[in-house]
Amino acid sequence: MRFKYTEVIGSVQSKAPVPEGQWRSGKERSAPIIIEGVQISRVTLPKAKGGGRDLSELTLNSIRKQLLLCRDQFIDFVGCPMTMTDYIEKMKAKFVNISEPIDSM
Amino acid sequence: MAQRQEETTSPKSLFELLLGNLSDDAELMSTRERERLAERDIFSELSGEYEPLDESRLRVIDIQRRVARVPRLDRAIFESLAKLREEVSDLQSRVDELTELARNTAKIYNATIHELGDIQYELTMPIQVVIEEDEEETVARIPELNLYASADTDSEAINELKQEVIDLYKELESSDRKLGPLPQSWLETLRKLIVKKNG
Repeated sequence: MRFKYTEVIGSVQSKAPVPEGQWRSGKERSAPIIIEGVQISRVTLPKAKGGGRDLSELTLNSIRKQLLLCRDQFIDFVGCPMTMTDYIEKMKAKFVNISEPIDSM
Repeated sequence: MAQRQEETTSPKSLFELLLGNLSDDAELMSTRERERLAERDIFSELSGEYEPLDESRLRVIDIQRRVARVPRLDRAIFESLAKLREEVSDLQSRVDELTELARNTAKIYNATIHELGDIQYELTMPIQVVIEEDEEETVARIPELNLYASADTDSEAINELKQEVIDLYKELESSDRKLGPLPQSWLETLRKLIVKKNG
């Protein structure tokens, strides 16, 4: 699994459902992943080390885990076939009661 | 008379006659002798070829055999060396593969965070951190909180991770949105781990 920094950042910023304008300032490196008003996870972008460079396998795996994707899904996520809608559907399938209120809140 | 003279052989003529006869016999003998000598020569030649092998002759033959064997031995040695070289080459390739594999395999070990590097936040108990190092960088993770930080060294990564812990705690504590099961569990864990100091 080899992806360039810009590929991964571009995919996360365009496909992960985060609050609007979250990445706009350029200062934030972390953002909550929110589906239907519920935060399901949080993703952190690595510090830039040159956009043309490949991200290490370790960092890719860490981002993948934060996106709650398996390896193949992550490859689809960064490699284009998976859209934001597809991602949201996958997360909904993972958390079947995602829209229901959580008592402990 | 004349007939008598004709019938009578003079001593001279007799001698000549005898000589002539002898000469013919000599020619005959000579031919036989030559044939006999030739046969003897052939026999001698043949017997020479088949003369029995004495010790010195056997030694010569042995040396000749050994000399004749040398090229075959050389070839066998060269073939063995070529085979050895091939095997060494295969082993070298295998060593290179394993070296590359070892290089690309991340080292994984644990570390413990005892403080967050911020006087406003105090840890009630140490946090276990997983450190993964590969050739390119070091990643510090807290699997329980799904947090990571990457850097060139483990201490840098741990420092980054401390800040991530604080950021996550602040975000979740101040969030007014609904939390899914994972963020909810993170918040509960962080509430147990972190005490915010006033002032």
